[in-house]
Amino acid sequence: MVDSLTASILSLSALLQFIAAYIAFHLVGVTKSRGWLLLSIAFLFMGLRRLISLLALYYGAGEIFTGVLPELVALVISVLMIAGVLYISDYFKSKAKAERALVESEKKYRTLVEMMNESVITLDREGRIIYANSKAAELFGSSVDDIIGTPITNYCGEECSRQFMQAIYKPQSVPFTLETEISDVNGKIKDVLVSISPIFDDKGDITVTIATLSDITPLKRTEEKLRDYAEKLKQSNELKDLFIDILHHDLMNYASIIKGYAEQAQGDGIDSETIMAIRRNAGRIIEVIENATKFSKLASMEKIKKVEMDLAEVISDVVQEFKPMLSEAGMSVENRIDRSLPVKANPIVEEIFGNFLSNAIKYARQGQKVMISAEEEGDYWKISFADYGPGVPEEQKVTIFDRFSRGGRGGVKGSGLGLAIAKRVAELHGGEVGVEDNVPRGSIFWTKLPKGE
Amino acid sequence: MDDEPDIRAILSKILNKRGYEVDLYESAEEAIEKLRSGDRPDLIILDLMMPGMSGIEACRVIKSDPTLKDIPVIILTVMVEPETKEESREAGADAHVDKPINMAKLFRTIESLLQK
Repeated sequence: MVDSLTASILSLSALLQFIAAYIAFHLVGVTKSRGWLLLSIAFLFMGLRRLISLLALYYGAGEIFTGVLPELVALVISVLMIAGVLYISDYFKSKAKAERALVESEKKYRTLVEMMNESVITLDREGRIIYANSKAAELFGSSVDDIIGTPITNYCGEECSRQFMQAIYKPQSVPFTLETEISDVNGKIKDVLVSISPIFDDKGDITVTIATLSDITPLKRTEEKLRDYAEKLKQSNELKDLFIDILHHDLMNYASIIKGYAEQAQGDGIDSETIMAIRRNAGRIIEVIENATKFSKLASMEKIKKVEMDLAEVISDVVQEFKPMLSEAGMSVENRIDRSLPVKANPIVEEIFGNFLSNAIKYARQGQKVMISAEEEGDYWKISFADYGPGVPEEQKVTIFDRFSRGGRGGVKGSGLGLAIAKRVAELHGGEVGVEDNVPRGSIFWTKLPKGE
Repeated sequence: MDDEPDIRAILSKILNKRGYEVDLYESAEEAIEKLRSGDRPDLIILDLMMPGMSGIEACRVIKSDPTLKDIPVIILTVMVEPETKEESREAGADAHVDKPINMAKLFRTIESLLQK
């Protein structure tokens, strides 16, 4: 009875010790620690000792582990176990240390990402935000908690969404950079430079996607401002060139005529013809200076104040004003406008008609007549000044309104700034000017101006 | 020829005073028509910039006409660009005088061309 109880305990004990030996041996492979091997051998010895005792009991050999030998075996087992435990404790110590270092390193990187001046977000495979730093929350105009879980397409237009999703599914290059527009939760549009990098798993599949976004809105604004400045600088440079051209051509020409007459008068005495010529050319110099001043003001103007007025009245006033000059040139005007032409315009609109008339006086004098008419053309009034002079050659029909393109060889001398002023005034009113042939003879200068409501 | 009436007037006045007989034309077309009808001057003064046919074109026409090409041509210009002077030389102009006209220089040029 006692023997069978002892045998049961011995066999259970041996079984457990073999199992322990097996587990310890298995752990050698998992932990790569030699400690488990020593423990495994110790358990094996212990198991073997129980097995031998069990066999001895079974065959009635009595107690065989007596004397020094069994104590020596027990000692060896103890040494093996202590050595094993020491090895294992070393392993656990270094493991704990590595874990602490990992936590610290993660904390360090997290702080780094948090402190970064750039917005960083992590997106899952569906394009949902799974991580965002505070700068990213600021960019999207919300809090970190509120944007986590929302899809990136919430903040993107169609094109931007397409680019993001393409970068998540099929990045063509890594990292993938794009310049796009996002709108924050308040609908404010921001220009951003986005850099997208996928994170791959062991199999080479994309698990998450990291995106950094830089707000380049202020840069863009500065760029626009610079471009504006450059454009203005170009304009003022063109104006400067124009004024040098005017000094050189027009003023020089008239001044040299005055000088010629004055020199002549010095020798021969002055007659009324000489006085008239000097007066006429001094008048032209004044006109050129006035027009240049007017043009430089109009060129830099961007907006004008408009009031309701009737173009028919404006034109009839201008014709009245030009009557003396027209009759002096032997010319007459036939004004065929017999209706009111309501517009929203600035009083400077009269410059268009005044310059058309003075142009006709200068260049179409031999035609003796100017005919003015108006017609409705969609949302515009088209007002035409037809003359019967020599006409405008085809190649000058566009450039005649553009003083800058003058100065070409054989161009029209002294064409002055009148038509350039007319063009600029029409543009400021949202209208245009042009010239076409008057059949069979002369030209028709026209302007189209938007009708008033 | 010059399209500016005041320049035509003052030039003719001064040249008349010097004893030259002057015909005035306000366009190159008009002047060339007159030249071809057999009215042959000793010298032609051409303005560079005129509406219609320019001084350079007029000069080319004159210099390519075998009956007219021996008439000396002076081109008047306010342009200081070297390429216009080059162009007028290529068109066959014998001389050019800048505006404002230096009368002494104009007379020197006229006299030296007439002596040839």
